[in-house]
Amino acid sequence: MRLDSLLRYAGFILAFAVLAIPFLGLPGLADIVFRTCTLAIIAISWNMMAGAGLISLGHSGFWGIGAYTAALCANHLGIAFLPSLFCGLISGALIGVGLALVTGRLRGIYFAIATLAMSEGFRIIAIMLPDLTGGAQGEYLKSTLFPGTQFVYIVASCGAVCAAAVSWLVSRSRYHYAFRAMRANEQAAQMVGINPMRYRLTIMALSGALASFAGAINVWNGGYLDPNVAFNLHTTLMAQIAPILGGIYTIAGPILGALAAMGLGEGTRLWLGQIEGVSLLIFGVTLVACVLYLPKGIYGGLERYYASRMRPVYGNRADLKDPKP
Amino acid sequence: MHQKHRHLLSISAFSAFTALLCLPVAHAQESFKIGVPASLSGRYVAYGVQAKNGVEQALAVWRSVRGDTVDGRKIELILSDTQSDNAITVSIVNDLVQSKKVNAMIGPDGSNVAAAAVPPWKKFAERPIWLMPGGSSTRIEKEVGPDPYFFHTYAWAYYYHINNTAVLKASLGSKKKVAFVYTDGAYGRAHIDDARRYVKEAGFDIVASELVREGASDFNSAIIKVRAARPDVLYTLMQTTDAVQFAKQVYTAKIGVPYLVGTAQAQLPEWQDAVGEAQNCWTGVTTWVTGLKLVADPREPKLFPSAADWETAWRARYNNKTPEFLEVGYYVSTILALLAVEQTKSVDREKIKAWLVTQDYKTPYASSSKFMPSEIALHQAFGTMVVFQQVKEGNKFVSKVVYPKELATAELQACKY
Amino acid sequence: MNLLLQFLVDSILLGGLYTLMAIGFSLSFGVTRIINFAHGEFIMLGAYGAFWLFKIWGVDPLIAMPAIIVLGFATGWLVFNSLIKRVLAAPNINQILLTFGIGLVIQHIAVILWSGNSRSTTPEYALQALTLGEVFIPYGRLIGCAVAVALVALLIAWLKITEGGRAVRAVAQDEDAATLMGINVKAIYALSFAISSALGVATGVVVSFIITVTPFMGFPMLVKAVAIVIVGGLGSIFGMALGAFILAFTETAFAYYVPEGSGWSEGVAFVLIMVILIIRPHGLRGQAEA
Repeated sequence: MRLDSLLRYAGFILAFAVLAIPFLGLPGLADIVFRTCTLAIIAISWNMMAGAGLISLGHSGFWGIGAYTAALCANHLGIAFLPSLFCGLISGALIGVGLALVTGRLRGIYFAIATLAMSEGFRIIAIMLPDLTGGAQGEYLKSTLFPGTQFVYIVASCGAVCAAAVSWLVSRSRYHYAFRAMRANEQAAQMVGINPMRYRLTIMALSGALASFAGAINVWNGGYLDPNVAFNLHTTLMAQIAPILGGIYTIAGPILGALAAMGLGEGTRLWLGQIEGVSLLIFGVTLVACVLYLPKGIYGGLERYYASRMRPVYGNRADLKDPKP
Repeated sequence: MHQKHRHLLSISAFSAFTALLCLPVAHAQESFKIGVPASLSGRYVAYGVQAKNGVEQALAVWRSVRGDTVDGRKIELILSDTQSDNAITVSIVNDLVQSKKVNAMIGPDGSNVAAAAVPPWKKFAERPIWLMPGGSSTRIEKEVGPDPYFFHTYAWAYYYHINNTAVLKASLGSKKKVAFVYTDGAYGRAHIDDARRYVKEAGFDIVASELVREGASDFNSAIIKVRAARPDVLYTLMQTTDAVQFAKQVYTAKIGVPYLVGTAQAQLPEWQDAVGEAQNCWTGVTTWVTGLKLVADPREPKLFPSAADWETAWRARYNNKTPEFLEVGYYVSTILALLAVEQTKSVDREKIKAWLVTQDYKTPYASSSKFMPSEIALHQAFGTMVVFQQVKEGNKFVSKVVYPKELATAELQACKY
Repeated sequence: MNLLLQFLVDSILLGGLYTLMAIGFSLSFGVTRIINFAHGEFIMLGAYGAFWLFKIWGVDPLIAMPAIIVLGFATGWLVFNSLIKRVLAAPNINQILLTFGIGLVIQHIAVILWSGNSRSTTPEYALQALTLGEVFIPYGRLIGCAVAVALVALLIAWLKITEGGRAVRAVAQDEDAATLMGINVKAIYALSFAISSALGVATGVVVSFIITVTPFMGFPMLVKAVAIVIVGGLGSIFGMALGAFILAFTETAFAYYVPEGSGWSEGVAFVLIMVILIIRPHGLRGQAEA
């Protein structure tokens, strides 16, 4: 079987599993699936921006904005679960649009640092306005509005499947070519007639919306929010580790990477978590090893494996053994 | 023919083996499961280690005194690393409460990790007994205090200030000036409102209230403004890392404030070592400091020895390290949980709750382990605190308890410049 | 009025401190264009080195500095040749993640070996200050400033005068041309990375008696260093120093004159980054390039 058809089948099975697991009544498994889904959503979101050549070091900014919007809508405006998620989504898209407008033509490392500045700026604002955001002490979500753990898990699973579908759709659309061109060389793309600003606005709005959705649903699961957690560097890090592990710029990459990262994180925490400092250490070592030895991620590894197993088209035809001049 | 025989043999062997495995499981007594979420990596690793030490010491002492079981049940300790991360804390609490179905949960430690543990515990109807030997934020108290299965075995933020202001008032009298310096993190923000309230109630004037940034490299701006206000008391609300730098900068600046008031940091050996000379005459308030004159409990002298004996045993096990208050707190909470099971002969949470509410032991942590209601919470124990001061004796610094009178070994002194 | 004088003193001293944090980073980022996310951890290692020498043998940090610098140089060289060299050609993101992973590993090795407790070195001068009327100048920070000036001067001199330094500048300007000129580019990369590590470690030694030492102290300093280098411009050491002082002055101004300003002052770095990136992306004195 070819790699892409294998992955397609695997994708369908995975989507089905992810949607079914919340109904099985296994709370431990459902919890891990939930965290994998939110990680997959933000990984897909980061990967989409990276696919257009925009490396973001501040994805936690989107996550936090989505979380705070959902929490504040619920607590201060009494908005219910699903509408608050929608508010989070919209806020993420707006921030994405804002970021695109503010950063204009910035590329590469400069753009990355601008995103870092954005997310840190949000964190400081959240700390310094305790009347609005609960400040450094944090804010609890009003428990009366909680729709039930199972429903939250189901929505997260649906979100993950939708995010994967969105990224697949984008890769099938015309936009895809523009993004690849921009990623390779934005100036050259401009010369070919691609208006970078338009595509930047689109991809950042989309990416921001997804990441904020992930943050928003996460706050409903956790029930507690504070600025250091909402705008945590760790979130940005995971949003990057997953696509890199899985295979950057691919569709399956962020998903494979989310599964691998979650497995690694849980494995080190469960089996080595009793010794101080070890679990995060192992994570760091794995990160270094993956960057050095698996630069194209798991997807790249799979590709290489399939390529090595593929029989050449012209097989063992005798007449090719001695090509005549 | 041979193939079939081989198959038959292996199948029967396998079934017999599995049956044998099931036997002990079928006859096993329900064990007593203690879930301890602790920050064993990440930024709260220092607290997580203390939590682990305290719980492990408690289990070791129980084993030596009572044996390996409690009420005939196996004691199962489930220690989970929160990685100082809120999302993982939520998962761990979910796991402990719903999947592993622990009978008691003890922890977690750092302020926002403790706060994050509340919603996943609260939303489960069959939640286990929860003993929290940490977490002083009023926000936590509001959110989970009224819950009947929640037992707070540490002081709430305002207890720090009730005790601080009591000793200041006794030593200084009223109408004195107080300047606050607090950090913009969870710690500072959690404490400042209560601190202000009690300082005002004690009749003091608040002449300055400076916010500083957590983790800043320079606190001078705040120190200069405080000096300009010429207070009698400098009241600081910050965590250890900032307190180290702040103490050194205050010492260097020589601002001449007669009373330097801190919270928990002054008792920590790490703070004392890091600031050296600058620790002189700083006060601290804590639930426990070494050298307290607490006696053994008459009914359980081996489980709750005197503070001095407990410390000796601790030093023997932990390489002569001075115990810290979190370690004592976790020790006492674990012993209480074990005693609850033993005395009620069950792991049923209603029985344990009823027992916890009526028990009262003398412990190495505080003279009484009785649970009383606090301002908002239903079950509060170990809220009594001592105020102490760092005093130079010869070449070293010692902590002298200055309040309350029953435990005091010295009077509060003004700093000499 | 007396606040103003102290404000000026504090700003200058803080500027010196920030220069220290950024100097190593500006060399490695300016030349190899690798955003070395482990730079903060090198500072942390230097601080711990100074701390342990002080605690166990009572060696003054300033006296221990040369030995620790040599160690830092060797460590940087090793790290570069074993790990970082392999991702020089890879996309930016790989380098960021690799160095971040390295930083994470170093951080947690430090936690395992030395625990998460706060430390500090306390040499005599760290707790004393020079008092001129209403103004006091802490000796510890003054020394930090002096070391910063010395290091900047040394670095600029090295870059301008020595063969190695000029080769580094050549590689920074145009890597291909440098190869054509017979410069061993890989070795130059390694050299500049090793020197930037040495500078980072030197910073750590000085910082050990100014800031609290913990395994996690590195990352906030890295963030400051990034802001400073962006503001000052890549490739310019003098620009970096300028950026450091601008950041220090702005932050201190906020802390002194804006109510609750200390809290907001952390955001100053990021606002400055945004402003510079929008108005003048190559920084105040950087070379104009994509």
